[in-house]
Amino acid sequence: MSTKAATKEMRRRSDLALKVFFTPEVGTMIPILILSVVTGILNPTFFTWRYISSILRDSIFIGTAALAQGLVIMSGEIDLSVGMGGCFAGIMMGVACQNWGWGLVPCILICLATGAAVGLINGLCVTRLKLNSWITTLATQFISTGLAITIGDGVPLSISSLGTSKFTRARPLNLSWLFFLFVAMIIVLDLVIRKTKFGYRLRAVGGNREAAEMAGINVKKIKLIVFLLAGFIAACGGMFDVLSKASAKDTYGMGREFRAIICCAIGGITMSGGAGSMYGVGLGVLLFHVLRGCLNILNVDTNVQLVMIGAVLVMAVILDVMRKRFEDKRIIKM
Amino acid sequence: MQNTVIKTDASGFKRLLRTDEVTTLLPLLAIIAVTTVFRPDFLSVSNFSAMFTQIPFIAITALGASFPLMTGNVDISTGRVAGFAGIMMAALVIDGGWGATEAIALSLVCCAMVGLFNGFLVVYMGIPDFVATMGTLYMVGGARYLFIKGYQLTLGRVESFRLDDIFDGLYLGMPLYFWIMLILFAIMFVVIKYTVWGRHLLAVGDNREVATIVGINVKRMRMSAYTISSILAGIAGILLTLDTSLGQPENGDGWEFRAIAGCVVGGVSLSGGKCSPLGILIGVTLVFVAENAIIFLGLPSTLREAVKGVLMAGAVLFDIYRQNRKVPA
Repeated sequence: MSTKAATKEMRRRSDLALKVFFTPEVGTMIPILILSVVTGILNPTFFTWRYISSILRDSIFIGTAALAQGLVIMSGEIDLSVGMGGCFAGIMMGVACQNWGWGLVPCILICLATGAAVGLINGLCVTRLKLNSWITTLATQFISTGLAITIGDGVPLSISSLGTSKFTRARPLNLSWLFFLFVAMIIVLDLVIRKTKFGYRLRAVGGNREAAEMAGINVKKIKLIVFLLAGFIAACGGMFDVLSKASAKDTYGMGREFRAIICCAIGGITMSGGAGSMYGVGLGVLLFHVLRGCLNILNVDTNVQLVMIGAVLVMAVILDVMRKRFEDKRIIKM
Repeated sequence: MQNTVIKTDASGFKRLLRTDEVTTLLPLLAIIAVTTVFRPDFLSVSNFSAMFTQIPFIAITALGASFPLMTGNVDISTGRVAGFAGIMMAALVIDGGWGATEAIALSLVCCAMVGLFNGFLVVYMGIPDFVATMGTLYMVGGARYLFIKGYQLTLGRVESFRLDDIFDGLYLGMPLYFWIMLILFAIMFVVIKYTVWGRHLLAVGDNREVATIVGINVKRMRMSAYTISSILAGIAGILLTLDTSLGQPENGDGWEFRAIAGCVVGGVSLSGGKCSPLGILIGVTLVFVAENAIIFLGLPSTLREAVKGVLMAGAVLFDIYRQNRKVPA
């Protein structure tokens, strides 16, 4: 009898180990560590804080877009306007400062309001008009690109009169204040997702739309809020861009929506919605940038880098699908 | 089809007005009319023939992209696949010393492999279509540059290569690839309307469960849709390379979304099950004419992207409106 109990205990433990191994966060940490160690051995400069901090400083721009994308994907939709919507918001900030001579607070407000407006339009189209989310957000991406290029006119709009350079050039711990702001955003969003009623409903809607509806959740309202929030966070990303580069330009957010999706995928957000965590997205952003930093420091050709990024994306999603199947099997066993 | 059954009193003319082709044609004619009122030189032969030298490449890509859309999936890797096929063909001819036929054949086989890979990821692995084809978009997009060895891949340099001379000439006032496009559209029209494979594809897109019950191999149909999509994109890329006699890796950037915009405007339903090659051709033309009209009307050309977005959203809205009208009947 005791041997049977012991084997049962052992199996339970190995199951637990497997479960921990299969959590998205751990699954992302392992490649980060392996990559870092291998690159560090090949090129010791990688391990200097100077290099690591520069990677971290650069990660916030795609990172904010990835947070927005993560929220939307968790609710079972997709948002292709996170890059150019943010860029458009940044352009509005630049225009407000340079052409209209507004102060700092109104500039930031118009930036965030523009992003939220883009998000609101997305949300209304998806929930009220029942449009497909990727085609809606692709359309708003096109529209905000067109507007950003037309308004920005191809020249950088300076925001030097706002007097933010002291704040953005400060390097606490060789990082930037914006980086800490980004980390704070991750923590707050994670609390929202895990601890609030809204977060619980958001995951329910993404996991099984019909079940959520039957449970009395107002699916449309949740999705509208998610898109609004995503537009707002994307605008924060655009603002980070403008602040840290001290100018607004129409090329800043280009292609960021795809990179944001990659970060979410390798951060363990299930692409069909319902599962994932904001820390996972943060780690995914980190892995994406560490990978790029490694490839850069090892002098890998940029085009080979593209191929590798694509391969990593496909592998991450396949891993996610396998993880899901593994969990389904566990449920059946129970 | 449904309308004819329910409203038997609808006259033939009214029925004609409700077809996808006409509903796409009307806004096209409206845009042309309005622009011509303001700028009479818009309706010149030279302007339209200039437009029709650009349309075929996107139109063929759009024709390919409509196949996955028909089965209810999306393929966003088509543009990069087009660029990949073009530059691979050029590299095989110039660096490898291959003949034209072999080079084109091998490039298209590679495209078919990409399509099969897309299909495998989406159909067998169950990865959401958008993300899966985004992965191949990156991989193929990067692979395009690996053929470059620091000099331009100019097909004209190769003495034995005569194919681009054929492409330089005009036939009945139009370049050769324009006629190739028309032939491809005609073939696909027949395939979708009259072959078992085409009818099965539409059935799979319309209702996957019913198609399975009827005994259609749904997985295989969806795989074949992705394969056709990549092959047609490859043809478009190769035609562009032959036309410019220059293998450029940037060829095909951004084609995927223009192609999808053309499909959607042309009446391909995003939920699957509906497609008309003639509609796609009109849809792609509409996108190009609208972009061209902006320049003629003196608006900033930077608004082109915005107009494309508005067109696409409008087309999808119209599709949903049309489907809603059908359901109660």
